[in-house]
Amino acid sequence: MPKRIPASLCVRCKGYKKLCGLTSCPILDRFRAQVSSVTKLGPRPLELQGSTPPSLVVGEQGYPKVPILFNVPPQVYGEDAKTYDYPLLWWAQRYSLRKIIELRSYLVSSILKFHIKDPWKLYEKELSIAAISVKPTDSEVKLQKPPIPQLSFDGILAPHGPSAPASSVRIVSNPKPPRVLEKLVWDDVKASEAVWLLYKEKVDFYTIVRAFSLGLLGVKRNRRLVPTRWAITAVDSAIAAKLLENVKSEDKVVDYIEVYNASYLGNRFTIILFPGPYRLEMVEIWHPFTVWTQNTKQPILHWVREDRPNRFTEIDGGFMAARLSVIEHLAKRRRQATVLIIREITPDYYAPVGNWHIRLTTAHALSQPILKSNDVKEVVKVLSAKIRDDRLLNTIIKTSKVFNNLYAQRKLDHYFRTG
Amino acid sequence: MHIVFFDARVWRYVISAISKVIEEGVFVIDPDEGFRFRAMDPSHVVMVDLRFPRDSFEEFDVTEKVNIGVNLEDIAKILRRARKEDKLKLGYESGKLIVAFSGRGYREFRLPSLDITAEQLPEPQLEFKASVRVMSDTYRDMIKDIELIGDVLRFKASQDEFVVQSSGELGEAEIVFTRESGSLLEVEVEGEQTASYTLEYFSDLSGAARVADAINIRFSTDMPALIEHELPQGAKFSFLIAPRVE
Repeated sequence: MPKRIPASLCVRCKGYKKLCGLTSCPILDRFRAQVSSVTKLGPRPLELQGSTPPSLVVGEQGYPKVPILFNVPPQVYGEDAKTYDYPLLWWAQRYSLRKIIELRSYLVSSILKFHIKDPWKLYEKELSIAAISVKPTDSEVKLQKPPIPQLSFDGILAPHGPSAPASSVRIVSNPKPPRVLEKLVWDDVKASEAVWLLYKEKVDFYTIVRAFSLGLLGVKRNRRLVPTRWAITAVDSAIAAKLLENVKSEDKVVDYIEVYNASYLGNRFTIILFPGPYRLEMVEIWHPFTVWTQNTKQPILHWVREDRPNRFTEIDGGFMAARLSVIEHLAKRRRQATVLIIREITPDYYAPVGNWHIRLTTAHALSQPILKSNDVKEVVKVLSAKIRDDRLLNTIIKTSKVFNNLYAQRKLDHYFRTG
Repeated sequence: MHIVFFDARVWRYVISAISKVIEEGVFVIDPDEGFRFRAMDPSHVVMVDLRFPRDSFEEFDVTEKVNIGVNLEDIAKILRRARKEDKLKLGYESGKLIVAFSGRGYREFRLPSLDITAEQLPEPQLEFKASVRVMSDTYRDMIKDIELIGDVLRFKASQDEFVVQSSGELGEAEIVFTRESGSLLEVEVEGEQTASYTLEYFSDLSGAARVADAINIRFSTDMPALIEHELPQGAKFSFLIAPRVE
């Protein structure tokens, strides 16, 4: 039965919450058919060799029996393989969307199925160790059938190339996991504590995510595989929770209203810090002709709020990624702030490629303010130059609780002075 | 030094409510004044003031003034373990705060005192043109009713009624307190007074009303409001909140 799915629903769903009730996202399905893979499998398409960057994804289909995607760029070995799953490098080099999609489409996913309660079985095969290695690990894969040359897209995960069920996956060189992580695999430390330890030891975010999703962290008898999408958000919020404890215990707030801005991949972020207790509000503006707004003439707005610390109006992977960068920034300065993030998504962001760029672009934006002021009018002026649509900006200011409070809420100091 | 209060639940609900607004602060125990805790929230919208006079305690063994730095959430967690008929003992010994329940058995917790100094807060001198006294349970119901509708509540007081209003996306709400219905115990007002406040703070602090007998609401048009909770044994919890002016 065909029905029209409102874009506001798609913007909230981003293809994986399945809010429209269909079993797979029609927009992503249509989109995936248009982009074909560039992978050349050669004369023997069922056997492939190469190094995993590492790149392992735990899927969620069929939970609790989940697919494990072991990704390898065929015939690419050693350090060269790293680029295929390296958000930090993609960001640092400002890779274009096209380049990222091309890289990802070259990765072949061999699929194995595991029960979530069997993380040790994966470990025995050395797949888990390869997944947390700091350098690429050589592997040999035998597929059951030739992979279909298609890509899949997602708002949280990076795109996936062609995939096929595997009959065997073998690790043939020695993986090199970070020492702290290697030790934690054998320790009975709560997963949230373990994540914090790794973060403090500066282990790469995605290595922590892979360790988390492959069930390598936590109290031993509770370990299980965690779908990567969930793991990303879990790691985002576990680190943020610890940092936030420190931020909240500081009574100091930022001295001025500060505005920050940065763009990448057709996403423009404007972040405004207001003096006040920690609160976070994010609005996504999906301009017409993005993936989710193909048929709309007006921008679609999607709000997520953290009205009190750790209490959200909804859990959104993009919000949690941006939030970690904001909280990291506040923790570094030992200051609280009430924060509004405006994320504009332009048609240049024609394919969703994961939430890594949100985390990195917001962090970069926060390195240097474009305005520090106590004059709200001046702030609005700068916003107007960034948003370039005064009607839209007005709607945002009217709907934003942060702005609302700023205009209407008086402070007690005001009455002590005159009283 | 130690002090004993006859009902630990009073502390449980009040401290738990305060902990939602204030992170850390200083418990001051004074040989003459009794117990006092004052603090302002980081956004400077609310100032809380909790007082247990010396006489409100069953036992009061204090020879010199002590300041104990505390994390409210930590204390609230312990106080949530208070059971019916538990008495509360607070003590201070070699840098540690002692929180103990005695009822069925004796349970004692010791927490290191935090190294924070008491903030110098002004004693506000405000005149309130409206003063309303309501039952604590009707006050709590009022907040729950308003929570369904909006983020802001608006007080309106006149000679014979006290009205609380709110509006939001869903619609509007109006809660009317009158003398005839028995919900309004006292009202004293100059003309008509109206003022708006952010609901969130009222919601967070409403837990304290569970152990209050009556609530006094004092305010003036577009000025701060003082919400006083009358607690057992002459103890008092109040908060002063800055208005919203649209």
